[in-house]
Amino acid sequence: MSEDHHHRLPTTPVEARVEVLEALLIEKGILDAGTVDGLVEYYEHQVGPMNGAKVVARAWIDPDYCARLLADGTAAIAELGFGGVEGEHMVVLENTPQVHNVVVCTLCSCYPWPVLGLPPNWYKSPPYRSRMVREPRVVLAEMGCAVGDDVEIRVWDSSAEVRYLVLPMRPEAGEAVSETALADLVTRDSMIGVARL
Amino acid sequence: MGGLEDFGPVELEADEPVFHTDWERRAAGLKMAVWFGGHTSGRSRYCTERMDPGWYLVSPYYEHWVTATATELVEAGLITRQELADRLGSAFAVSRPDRAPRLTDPGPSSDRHRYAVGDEVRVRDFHTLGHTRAPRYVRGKRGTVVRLDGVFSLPDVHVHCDRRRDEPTYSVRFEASELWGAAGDPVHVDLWESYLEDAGE
Amino acid sequence: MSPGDLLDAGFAEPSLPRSNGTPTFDAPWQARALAMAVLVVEHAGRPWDDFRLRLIAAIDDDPERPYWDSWVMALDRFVADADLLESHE
Repeated sequence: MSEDHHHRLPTTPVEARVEVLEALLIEKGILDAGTVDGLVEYYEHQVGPMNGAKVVARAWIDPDYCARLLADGTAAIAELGFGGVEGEHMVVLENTPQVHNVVVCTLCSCYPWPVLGLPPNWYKSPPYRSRMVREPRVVLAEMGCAVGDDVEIRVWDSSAEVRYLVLPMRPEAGEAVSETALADLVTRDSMIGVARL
Repeated sequence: MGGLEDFGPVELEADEPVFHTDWERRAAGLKMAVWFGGHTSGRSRYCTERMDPGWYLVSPYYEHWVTATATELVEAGLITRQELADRLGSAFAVSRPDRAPRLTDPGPSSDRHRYAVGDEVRVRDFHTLGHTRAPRYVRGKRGTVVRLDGVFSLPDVHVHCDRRRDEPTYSVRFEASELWGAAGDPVHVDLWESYLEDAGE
Repeated sequence: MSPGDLLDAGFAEPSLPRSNGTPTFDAPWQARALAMAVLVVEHAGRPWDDFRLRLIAAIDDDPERPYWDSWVMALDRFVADADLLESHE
């Protein structure tokens, strides 16, 4: 086999390669199927933006929790039972009338798994990764997020170990609303910073 | 990839599922199981970076995970390309070979931050064949330290060395005028200490 | 292997990479603890929040304790409460 041949586009379907790799790793005892199934189940169903939404709703309702969240994101998020891989060093970014925060990973696809789950394709795509640091205001507008000219946009590139969660501003809700109902208002995109509520 | 031009609009998909297909599900599960299971050595991003650039850009995201995992395990000697090929019936595509030299000396570790919030720093303008987490768009650029973060293993070292170098990390704010030569919004980048030097005048 | 055994096995491992003295996530027992929790909760036919509430209690009990240790304790508690102890190795 020439070395050259392997560096271009593969000729085999990715489905076949996944099957082969998984089978080989199970045979070698590097993987067991039960662990793989458990991890898939966890990341497909047990973690996701509904976790982050609970954190945001708690912060909106409880000013002491909000203060703790901004001072030590990891510890405050753990109070709600969320933590682990890709969330060991959390920083929460508070949106205000003067500041709108938005998160990107220009180097790869770093994302705060325990509170938002696995990232959507657009977050990992070359257009988002290249353009969000270069022209954030334009990209946000294209994505349907209008930010006033008097508001500073702060872009955060998660290039090291910190993972970010945006704390969106609480929408006007009029009457007092329950924490659960508030959590239902919080979208994944608002916690990345590409949407406002 | 930050700051590269020529990419078009961000394409959104309404109600996007976590996994679009079963192969993605299996690919994600196996990469995580291998990673969490302690069979890797923190080289997966470097393996992804060494995919053929054309292939990297056209392939679905989770194909990067399949390729990086296979490449990392082959390079660690846990599986061989022959074993993969025998089962696949043809060559199993992996990333390009690692051309960076191995480091014998990791350099000194440090757990004390050299810089403080408010300090003006410059990102060193270095170039490497190997792995780094200093984005190209900030190299040589001047910024302000806004946050002191924890002490972590420097990837530029642990990917290429049997030992590690631990150092402080920072979040550094860069003005748009500094990065792009035009007015705009600031970008904050998280950087290891050895990427930085005093800004001087 | 019970959740408690997982915890013991973790600390017995001399080669675990550690950060500030506590094990980091690169440990096989933590991956198994994660997968085990999911499969156990599913097997018990309970909602995930039943486990999460116990995790919250374990973290609250000692916020300084590493996350994964609280996880294993929560799993131990869940198994005991769900009366699954008859399913031995």
